[in-house]
Amino acid sequence: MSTKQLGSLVVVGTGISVAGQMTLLAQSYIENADIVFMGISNKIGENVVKKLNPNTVQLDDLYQAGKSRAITYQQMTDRIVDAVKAGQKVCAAFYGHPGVFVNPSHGAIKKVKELGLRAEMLPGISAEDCLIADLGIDPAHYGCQSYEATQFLFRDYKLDPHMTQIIWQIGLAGEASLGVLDADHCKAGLELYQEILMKMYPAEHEIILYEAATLPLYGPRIERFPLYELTNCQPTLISTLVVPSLGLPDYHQGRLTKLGLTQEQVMGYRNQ
Amino acid sequence: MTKSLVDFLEELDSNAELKEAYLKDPVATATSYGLADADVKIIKNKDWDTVKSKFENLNKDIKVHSY
Repeated sequence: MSTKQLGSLVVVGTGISVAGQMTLLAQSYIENADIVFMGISNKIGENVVKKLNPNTVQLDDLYQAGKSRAITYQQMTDRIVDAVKAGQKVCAAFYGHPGVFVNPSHGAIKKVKELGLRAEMLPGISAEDCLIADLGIDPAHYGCQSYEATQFLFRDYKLDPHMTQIIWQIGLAGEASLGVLDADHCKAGLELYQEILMKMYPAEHEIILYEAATLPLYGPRIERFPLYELTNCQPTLISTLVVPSLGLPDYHQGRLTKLGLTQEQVMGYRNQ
Repeated sequence: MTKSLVDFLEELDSNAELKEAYLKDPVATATSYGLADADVKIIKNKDWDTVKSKFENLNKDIKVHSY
């Protein structure tokens, strides 16, 4: 009696740097897969994966100039899922965290699970993890709002200046077509961000343009400048804008009362 | 024998001893590792744009999220 192998999918992250941020378990899944799909933006990282498992397939051939990324990402998802349907033990390796700012990873896992087959995502080191380490910002200290630059501009979100603002893809701020892959079209978006932020922060408030180090030869890009200089900065596709907190907000007396507490009590506990 | 910049970058990202040596003296570390003169020159001149153009392809970046 022949037993056909059921396909499965494990999605792993390879980290932001080229080799050293991949977990042991991610390496093992790559090694043991029948086929590995790669969404990795540098050749060193690809090389590391290929050494672990020579049967790799890149996904970047699906990009075409002017083609909407939405279509490209759908085709990537389909390519991964088709391999699982064919009964293969599939690993999809994306750089950074495979679930952060990656569309096909979530899409493929959802589809494979709908087929009744096994699918799992393993966490990886994301750009946000690097940012926290490089800038010394603990997201728990003031709280944190973290969002994609264009989505924030297009939607009616509320910004809380007491929380650290982490604004991803600032180099694409305001870009609507989904067909642009450079940071040359963000001037209007930066102007709008400056206008929004100036209503909540002093013009001299120090903000940070950040890029994690993608190669081990050099450190991260960390440029600090006052808010009024925002429109003069030169972001790239991997730039993130960080707006530090104005500080903790006042205590909410109503909520403290409902919890049977006073501000003095809480301050006393904090200072113990 | 000359070693490749690819191997150097991979090891630099996974070998703490090599990384610490590189942080102290990048050029001496690259030379003693066995990189070709042209690659050592890149490091000496901090010509990171050349390295990025060789190894990175951000124009096809999977991480670009659709809003």
